[in-house]
Amino acid sequence: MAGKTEIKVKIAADGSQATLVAPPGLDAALLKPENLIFQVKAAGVLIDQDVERNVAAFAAAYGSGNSERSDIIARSLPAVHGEDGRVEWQQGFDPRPQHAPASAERTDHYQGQHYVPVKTGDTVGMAHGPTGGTDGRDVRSGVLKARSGKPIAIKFHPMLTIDSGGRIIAQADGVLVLKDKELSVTQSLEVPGHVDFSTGNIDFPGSVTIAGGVGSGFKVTAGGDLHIGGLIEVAEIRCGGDLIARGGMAGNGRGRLRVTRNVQVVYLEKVVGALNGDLIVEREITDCKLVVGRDLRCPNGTILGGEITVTGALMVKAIGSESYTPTVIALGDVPLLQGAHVKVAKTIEQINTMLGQFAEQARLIKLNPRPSPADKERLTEISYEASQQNQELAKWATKLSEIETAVRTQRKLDVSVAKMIHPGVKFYIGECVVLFKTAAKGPLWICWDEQRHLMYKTSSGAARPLSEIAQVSRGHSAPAAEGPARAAAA
Amino acid sequence: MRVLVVDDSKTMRNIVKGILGTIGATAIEEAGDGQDALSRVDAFKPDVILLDWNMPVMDGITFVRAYRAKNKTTPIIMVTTEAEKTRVMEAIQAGVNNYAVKPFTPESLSKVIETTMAKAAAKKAA
Repeated sequence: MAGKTEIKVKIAADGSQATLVAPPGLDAALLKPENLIFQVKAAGVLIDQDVERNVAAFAAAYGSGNSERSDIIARSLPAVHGEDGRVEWQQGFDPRPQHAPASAERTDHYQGQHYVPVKTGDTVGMAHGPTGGTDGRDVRSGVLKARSGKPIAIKFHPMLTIDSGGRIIAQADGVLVLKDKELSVTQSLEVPGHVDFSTGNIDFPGSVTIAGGVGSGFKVTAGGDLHIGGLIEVAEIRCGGDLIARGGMAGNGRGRLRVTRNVQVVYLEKVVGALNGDLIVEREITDCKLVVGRDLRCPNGTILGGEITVTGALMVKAIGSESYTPTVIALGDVPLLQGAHVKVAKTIEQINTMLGQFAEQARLIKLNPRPSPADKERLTEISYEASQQNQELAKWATKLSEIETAVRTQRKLDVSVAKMIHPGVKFYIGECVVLFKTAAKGPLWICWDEQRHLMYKTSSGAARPLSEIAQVSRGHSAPAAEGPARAAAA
Repeated sequence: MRVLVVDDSKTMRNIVKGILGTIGATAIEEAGDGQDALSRVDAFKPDVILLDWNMPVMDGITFVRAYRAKNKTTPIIMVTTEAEKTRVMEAIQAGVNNYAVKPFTPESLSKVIETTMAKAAAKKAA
């Protein structure tokens, strides 16, 4: 039919549109809308109001037919595909890795998994299921099938439930972890291998167990205890509980350790750090700068080089080496409380300065025999402010007294060396410096007597003045080089 | 103890509030002048009023006269720099129960308030 009339209806292969084509010079009778509609319908195109309107417009536009005309007169209605299921995270509960807001070209490869603490009953997000979508149709009225959305790509551990409203609710206290597309709440984190680029840095509020070691440049922060199965390289370790390392730590001068409680480790080499509790080392401590809040026990190992401050007892097999390695140990001091002491003392000083200023202001006002009402009000203000500051002063003075009591209680000198103190070893004990110029054979014990004289004992004899085996001088302060370790403590 | 503090100085009101906090005030209402105080006093129903003398809009003594016209019992303590005897007498005659002269210390003001409240309680019991 189209060939005889020379009017053509072209339909796109995918049925998305139909085009009416008319060559020039056609008889006007052929271009009547009803004729055109007949042809369009015959071609299989669904006729609706839009098509009728488009055909009428086509006929009108063809006019006297001076040139060929080609218009799209029907279009398909595309399918609206369904949306994939998704989780809309509540603010502050998104457990996905939070990369540093660096430029788009720079990615922090050390950045690791992100952990979010949750409490039972917390709504961590909303689960939105997939939608089905809406089918479309082509110009011939054929169905264009809509694709349904995919289910949520995250599996939910039983420690999280989804209520009828789609709320994702934590069923236990812990940390929200999204790992291997599973969302769970966990109280402890297990790293099956090493901490390296495959894991990134670890920063976890609870306890952490690392089966392997910790690579150079990585940071591990555990809010609770930390177990490390392998070697710790030039890494930064921060632990809110005990650190138990089955290997050693080779810090190369840049490895950092900050532990709130005790540390148990095979060896420490060139590590800077501080811990509030006991340090137990299986083998040697080499070239470390450490502040130990309580006892240091290394009964089968040597402290060789470095600067170590020990608040409590020191038990070690040997100190220093035959090659006169300078080894500095500060004892009878409570460095971890000294910072607090200095801070509190400074606050007290500031309050006293302020009180002095108030007193001076009041004195100046009172010099006037007839103070104005404004002066009298100012005197009232001064009196009130001074009274407030006096209350603060009393509070801080109590705090200072508590710290001083704690320092007195914790400070002790209890050194036990099983085998040898080598020449070149220097002890800072209070205001005394004890320098060993010759080797002192163990077992020997160093302590204070009742008059706080420095004494030593061997297994065979009574306590003797320490000055008999080492050079003891007074009037020296503790080594300044404790700085980095103190900084780590801070 | 419910206390209405009337003073045009916010600093002074804060000081007085701080002192009241240490002697068991349960509710404190503030007013910046006598008129402001009059507009609040019926709704707040204070147990005691601490009142400055020199204030804009309506001074303390005018407030006392206006308030005593309708309330004879709620104690009023004048807290002021006006320390001359004639002024004190004027205030007492207008209906002020006690007097605290600026500059005062937290202790001295606390004592004045406690004495005033004890007297008011004894009077009520009698």
